[in-house]
Amino acid sequence: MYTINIDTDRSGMFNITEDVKRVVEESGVKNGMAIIWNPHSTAGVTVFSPMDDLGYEDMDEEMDRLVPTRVNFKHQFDTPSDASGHIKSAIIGVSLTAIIEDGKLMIGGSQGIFFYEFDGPRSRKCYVKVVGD
Amino acid sequence: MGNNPMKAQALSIPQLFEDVFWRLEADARLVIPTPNILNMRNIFITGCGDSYMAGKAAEHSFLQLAGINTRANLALDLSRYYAQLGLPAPEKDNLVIGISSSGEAARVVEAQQRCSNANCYTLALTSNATSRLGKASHKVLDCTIPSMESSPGVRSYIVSLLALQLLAIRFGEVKANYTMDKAGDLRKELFGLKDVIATSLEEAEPKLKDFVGAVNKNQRVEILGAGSMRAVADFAAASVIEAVGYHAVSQDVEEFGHVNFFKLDPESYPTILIAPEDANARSRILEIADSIATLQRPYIIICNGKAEGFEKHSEHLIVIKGEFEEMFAPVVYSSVVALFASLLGDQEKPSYFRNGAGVYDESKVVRPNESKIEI
Repeated sequence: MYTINIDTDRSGMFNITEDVKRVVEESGVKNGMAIIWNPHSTAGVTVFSPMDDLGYEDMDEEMDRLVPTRVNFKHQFDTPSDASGHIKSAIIGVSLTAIIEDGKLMIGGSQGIFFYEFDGPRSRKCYVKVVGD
Repeated sequence: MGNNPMKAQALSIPQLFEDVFWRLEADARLVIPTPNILNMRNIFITGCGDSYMAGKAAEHSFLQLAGINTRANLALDLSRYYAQLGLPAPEKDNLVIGISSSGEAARVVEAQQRCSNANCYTLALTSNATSRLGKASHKVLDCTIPSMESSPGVRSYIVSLLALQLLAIRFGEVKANYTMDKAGDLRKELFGLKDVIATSLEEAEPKLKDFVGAVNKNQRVEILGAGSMRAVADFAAASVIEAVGYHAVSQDVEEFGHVNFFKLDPESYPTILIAPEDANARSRILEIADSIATLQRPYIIICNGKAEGFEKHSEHLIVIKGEFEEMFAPVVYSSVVALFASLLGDQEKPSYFRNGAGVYDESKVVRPNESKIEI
């Protein structure tokens, strides 16, 4: 298993596509799959288009529209940002599975793999397990 | 140790951290709802005796961590003056924290009730939720501690102080003044002070005993502090009075230069200067240290860290090993001065509160818990 360390300096999306590709290459697996798992409950992993930075802002705004950071969450033990982060993490999900074929990660040309921070800044990890056929 | 319950309480402080800290931490997170924290504009902390001093010692933590205007008020002052003359509006955005271990200190109960009636949001720090203070408050933070043989307040003061520090960390966290990770680090730093306290008490005792002789001989002592250390000086003086009844005075470091410097018979006036390494008032503390030496008062300087600038006072230093933020320093220094007070007088037959004998028999006067409450 490989660990990608990410020090998020804000909430928002962090492109880890190249990190995952590097892991696949280092693994030596030619055909199989890469499982990307985020072990944090206020962060997510998702696929998004990296073609336009403004797209990230659209995504952030939609997430905040769906789950506003309000002050009266029933989960009061931590902070409002944390409480909303738990919900966003559950909605976005914490894992992805990508296909590896001929040593390449089979993601589309306008697809990127993103770590999605919902309660930054934090020191985070993302695990990648590469499994051969 | 002989029969010295006060010393036993002082030495038990590290274990007290183990017993109550994390339970208190969890309670401090939940006792004030997030909307109330975010609406808060002013915090008043009130109490009597060492309860008030705990509030004064934590005042700056609320300012520094939570960014909320905070003042510690003596209960009589808050109740009969501030609450009557006008609390800041909107009153609902004032948090009033009333501290009384028993929950029955009449003046604190009165202050809390008056503030609750004025629509302030009130929190009690007490070990008795069903006490008059608990009932006069919107919320209660349970400050119950394992019991020990009774003595002048040490453990109850420390727990009140820890509870306030944890509330300050919590309020700053909710207001997003720092990240949750940073808040966690602050909590761990505060908890870690138990080890600093354990080492400090062991190492300080021999040097404190040397100084105790001068205090016992003259039956008086002056303790100086700046900022939150002024509250520690207050606590030290109160501890001395409660423990042995000597004339004990606390004073602000700056005010010493204006007023107390001119006391008669300086050679017979033992003095303690509290000098944390990171003190904002450090330059003035160094100047006053020289003043005390010039007066030829018997003195000790309690400091921590590298003790830089105190080289000429090396024979008078008690150095606490450890570096920590000034806002957290009160809990360490208070432990040391509590130990100091416990070493005074007759170690075999303590006369705490004068054993309530003769003119000190409180049944002949109106006790603090029995004072008439006026709403």
